[in-house]
Amino acid sequence: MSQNQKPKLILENGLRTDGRKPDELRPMKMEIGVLKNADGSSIIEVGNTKIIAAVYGPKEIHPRHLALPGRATIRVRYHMMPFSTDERKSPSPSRREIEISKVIREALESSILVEQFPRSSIDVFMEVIQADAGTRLASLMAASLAVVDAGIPVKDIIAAVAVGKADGVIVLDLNEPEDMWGEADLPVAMMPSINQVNLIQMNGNLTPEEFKQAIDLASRGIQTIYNMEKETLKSKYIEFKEES
Amino acid sequence: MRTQGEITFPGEELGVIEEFIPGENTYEEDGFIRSASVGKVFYDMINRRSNVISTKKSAISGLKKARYVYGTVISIKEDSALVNISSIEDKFVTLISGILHVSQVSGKYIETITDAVKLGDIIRAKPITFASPVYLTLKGKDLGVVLASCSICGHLMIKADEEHLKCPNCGNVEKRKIGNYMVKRNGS
Repeated sequence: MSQNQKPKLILENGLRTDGRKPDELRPMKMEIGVLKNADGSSIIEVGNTKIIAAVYGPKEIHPRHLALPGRATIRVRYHMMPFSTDERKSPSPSRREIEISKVIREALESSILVEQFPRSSIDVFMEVIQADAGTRLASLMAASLAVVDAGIPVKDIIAAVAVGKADGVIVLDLNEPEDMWGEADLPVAMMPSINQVNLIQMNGNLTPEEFKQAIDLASRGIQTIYNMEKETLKSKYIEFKEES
Repeated sequence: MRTQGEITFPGEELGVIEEFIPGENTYEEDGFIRSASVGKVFYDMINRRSNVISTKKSAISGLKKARYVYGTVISIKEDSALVNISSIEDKFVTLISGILHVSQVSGKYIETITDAVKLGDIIRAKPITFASPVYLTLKGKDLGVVLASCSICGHLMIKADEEHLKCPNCGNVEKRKIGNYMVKRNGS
């Protein structure tokens, strides 16, 4: 599947390798409340990337010494399933997964109202079922939706998208070849209603102008995703109302 | 300000801090009151609070409105008992630890905590704090030991009078704080 030679990322007609325009998102699907045993859960699909997330809590923390006196402790596990990549991935948490878990935890902490649950814990689990670029952001969104599904108060729902540069063109929502061969990769996560950034990382090079342009493009993409997330929550809420 | 009963999502503006106090499932940022979960907007015009009524609630936040909880006494200290709370009202939850202090047993003077509860008793208590460990009280007619076994032979105890339990197997009499809900004979 993976090539050793850099393919052409932007074709002659201005489209990308998967036929998208530079400012076009991948098709997205999301659902919440998919697991019975977890307090909150969600599944999200971004193109070929598939993530399932589960949230437990707030509950009493164990072991006790991890408890914080004034707020909840958030424990996050991001994990890729052995069959999620084209070559089998060892199921033990790699260095990369540990780092992503930390990055996602810090992004989530800024959205959850942790002060309301002193001395308790909120556990978040994410499994990458299929990986095809943008797993950290898809995981973060899945986690955010699962947290809302669990009824945990949050500042805002997190919406996230990556932008990057491929063959000199600023593109939205990178796919696998663009991630691998592109000049820059810039994942951005935001809380659109309160205009705050949860997560931003950058890989590669962008000029200040390109960076501004990229952020602009990302926030437009995020707005679309945010509305989609709201729609998902709304349909679940209406379903719940009809049941009761 | 939004219309009463409208569906709202996290992050949406509900009002400003000058007109309302942030209530349930809301938070305040930069002078605005915003929703913190999915639910219906509820403005309490009497107390000037803005709330969001959400569909799902966590077990810990359910403690606030609980009139009673059930739990097992798992250890006794000098002046308090450690309780594992296993249900909030009639809903089972993952265990939450609770503490019962002698001063919260009844209005009357009690010499030691063992005059009110003993190890292994199932009690019906009321939470007075809402973050773990939860402090409990047994003050009130409906609160107290619900199920107890004899500390000599282990047989289920039955109520002898308002303050004492009797073991039908060995005749042992023990002191307890008994509520209206004491299980009398064979789980009745």
